[in-house]
Amino acid sequence: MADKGDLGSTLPLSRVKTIMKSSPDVSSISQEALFMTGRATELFVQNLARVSLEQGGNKNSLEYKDLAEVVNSVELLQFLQDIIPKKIKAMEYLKMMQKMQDEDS
Amino acid sequence: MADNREKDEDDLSIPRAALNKMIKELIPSVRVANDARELILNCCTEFIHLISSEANEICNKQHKKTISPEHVLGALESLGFGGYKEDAMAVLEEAKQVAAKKRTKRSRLENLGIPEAELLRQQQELFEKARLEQAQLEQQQFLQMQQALQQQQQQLLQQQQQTSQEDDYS
Repeated sequence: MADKGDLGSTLPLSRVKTIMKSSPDVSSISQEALFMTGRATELFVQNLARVSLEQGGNKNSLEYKDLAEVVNSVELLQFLQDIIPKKIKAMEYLKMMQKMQDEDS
Repeated sequence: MADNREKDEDDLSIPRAALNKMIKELIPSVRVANDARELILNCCTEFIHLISSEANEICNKQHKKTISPEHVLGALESLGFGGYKEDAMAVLEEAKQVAAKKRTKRSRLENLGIPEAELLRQQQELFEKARLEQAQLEQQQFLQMQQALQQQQQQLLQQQQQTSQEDDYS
């Protein structure tokens, strides 16, 4: 099986394959399709990190909230919203709950 | 604590080290928080699921059994990641070149441009030559041994004659 050494890519293709196959219904994947998916994933990570850094407040550090912000604001990344709940402070949460209660009554 | 349970499918992700390397190469001087890394890792896995599900759907619609590069390209396009297509296709080209290089390397070693029959003939010649040389060597050794033996015999004979002469005079 082709491994990362062959193409100089960083992601281990065997792992990518395992993840792909854990998707329901996926049976077999051609080697070339695997290469492509691996490469696309690399590009995705690079883009996500870079954009988050650029949008974020500090150019020298990348924080969780930078990523969360981008995911919530870019439509393309909507599929990530379930796994990246934006962390909010307890105070904000309480205020939110209060507001909802007020609206119901 | 026996940790030999089978790896839960939900635990599957790209190895942390691979991700760290990618980040390091991309933004070397940036400090990346640990929880941010963990998050990127999960986003990675989610992305792979997204692409493979979509590609699989396209594959099924075409009544094919194996997901092909075309299916992956189609998935990227329909999910809004069409911008990755060019780069993704470049990877295929790279893979072909790597495979081609391996083939020429192998055939170059195998053939040296000489047809197989000729190679066989040359091999036979070399064997024959080696056999002859070995035979000659053995013959030489035999002759030398024979000579040495003869010399020894002569010496013995001379010694014997001397002692019998001495006997006569006693």
